[in-house]
Amino acid sequence: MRFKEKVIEKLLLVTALSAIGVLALIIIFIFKEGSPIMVKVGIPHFILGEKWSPSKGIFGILPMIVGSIWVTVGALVVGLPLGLGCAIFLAEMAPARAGMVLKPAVELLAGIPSVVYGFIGLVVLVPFIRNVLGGPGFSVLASAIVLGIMILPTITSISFDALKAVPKAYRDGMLALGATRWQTIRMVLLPAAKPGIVAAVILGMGRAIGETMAVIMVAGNATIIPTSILAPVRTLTSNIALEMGYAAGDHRQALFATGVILFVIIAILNLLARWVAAGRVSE
Amino acid sequence: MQRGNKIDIQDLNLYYGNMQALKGISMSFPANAITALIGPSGCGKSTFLRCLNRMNDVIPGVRITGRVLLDGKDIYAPDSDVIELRKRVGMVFQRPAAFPLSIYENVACAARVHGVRDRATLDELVEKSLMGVGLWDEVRDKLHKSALGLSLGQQQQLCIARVVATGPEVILLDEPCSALDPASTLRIEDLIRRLEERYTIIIVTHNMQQAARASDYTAFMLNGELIEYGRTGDVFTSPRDPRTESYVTGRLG
Repeated sequence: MRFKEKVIEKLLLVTALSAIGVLALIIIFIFKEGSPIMVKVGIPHFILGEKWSPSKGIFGILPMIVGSIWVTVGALVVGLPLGLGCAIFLAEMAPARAGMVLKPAVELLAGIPSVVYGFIGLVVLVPFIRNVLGGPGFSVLASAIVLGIMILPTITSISFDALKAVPKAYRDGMLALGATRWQTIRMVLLPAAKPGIVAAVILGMGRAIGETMAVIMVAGNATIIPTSILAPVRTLTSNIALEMGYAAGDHRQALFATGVILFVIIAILNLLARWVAAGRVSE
Repeated sequence: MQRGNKIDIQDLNLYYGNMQALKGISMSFPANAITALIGPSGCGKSTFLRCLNRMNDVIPGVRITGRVLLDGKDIYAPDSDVIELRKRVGMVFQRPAAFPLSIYENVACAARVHGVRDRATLDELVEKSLMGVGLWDEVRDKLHKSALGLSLGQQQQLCIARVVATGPEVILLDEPCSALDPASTLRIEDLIRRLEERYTIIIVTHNMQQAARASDYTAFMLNGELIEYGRTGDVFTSPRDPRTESYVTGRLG
């Protein structure tokens, strides 16, 4: 019996280590492939260069970094009010039966393949923006709306859990002071759930910044720094996906280097999320 | 009872679905006095207390019949304003639920709920409320630190300060000391005694000594019924009902 326990323990250890091993290999690989070009161009030139022209050997990814930031912030502007509002309604106001239908429905949004979001954006949203607001339609705005909807499930379900985890005593205590339901939510429940909500925002950001397919289909993908929300934009992930098929030599390395930058940004976001979720947010 | 009655209860019944939790309770709470509600667990005393500021409204499946008159007006009347009611009848719970905000905000949010916006008025109200519960000197230097750093006893004082800040007429306390150590318990009892002149106080307690020490009137409840109600001294020393006697002497519950 004891022997069997030991074998199972070792087997589980191997599975756990192999997950970490795969991660380590990926990191080593993209850094190995991507760092030489960064050194060659110079990291400041690579990150702050405004021109991306692989055929001429010019590799500056600032337009893509700015593009990713625009699109991600835009996604939050769209997704946070919707997602948080939805979570507040589900957690605090919806009758139990409505909650039982609505929450799975919102979570189902996460199960729709991103290419479907992209397709709907392409055939509905892009023409709409072009006709009503002007510009090419393929734009920061279109990407932000599509991504905003895609991060809804993340923001809604994590904020919902955070609100549900607020002790009932806070709710009762506030109601017993003569507070209305909205005052209770605003003054006590949201502050109490703040670490969870911040974590939801950061994870939503991580999802928005990493999304590729849906963004490629609606963003226009021009390698220029967008000057308006109606201008086309290219993100870091799009840059890799669009060009990896035919890239070679320095160009290929530059795409890996784009991946390195993306990896660093996402790693920072994840660390932030963990740090915040652990409740170490000081007032 | 020479003093006027603050609350009159007439034939109050409460049902959770099909289960009747309160059975035909009629009694009056005198103004500016402390009344203790005692009885074994599950006798309905907390449920009864929650009827007095309609905190049972938020529990699904609860049905209430009968009348609860606050200064002669039925709080269950269709035109009664529950928000206004809870401002007049504050409640302190069993576990000190200081909000995860600063000490200042814990008290200030109670005032904000009732529309106080002006900073100077808030400052003054926070100070007055904290002084009223004897916490001011201990927290004046850390008003903007988290309230969760206070001891449980201090948190309960803070919860009382919070209620005081809404300017209530009646304060309901639901076993306010059951989560506290003996020293903190005495602090809270002292505090309740001092609050008596300004407020009508109704306290639910498990603790016989506490009821005997800290109340003017005592009501004994059993299985949702009011068994005996009178001056605390009488209820404890010469109970009329044999069930009261066996409870206060420790043979029941």
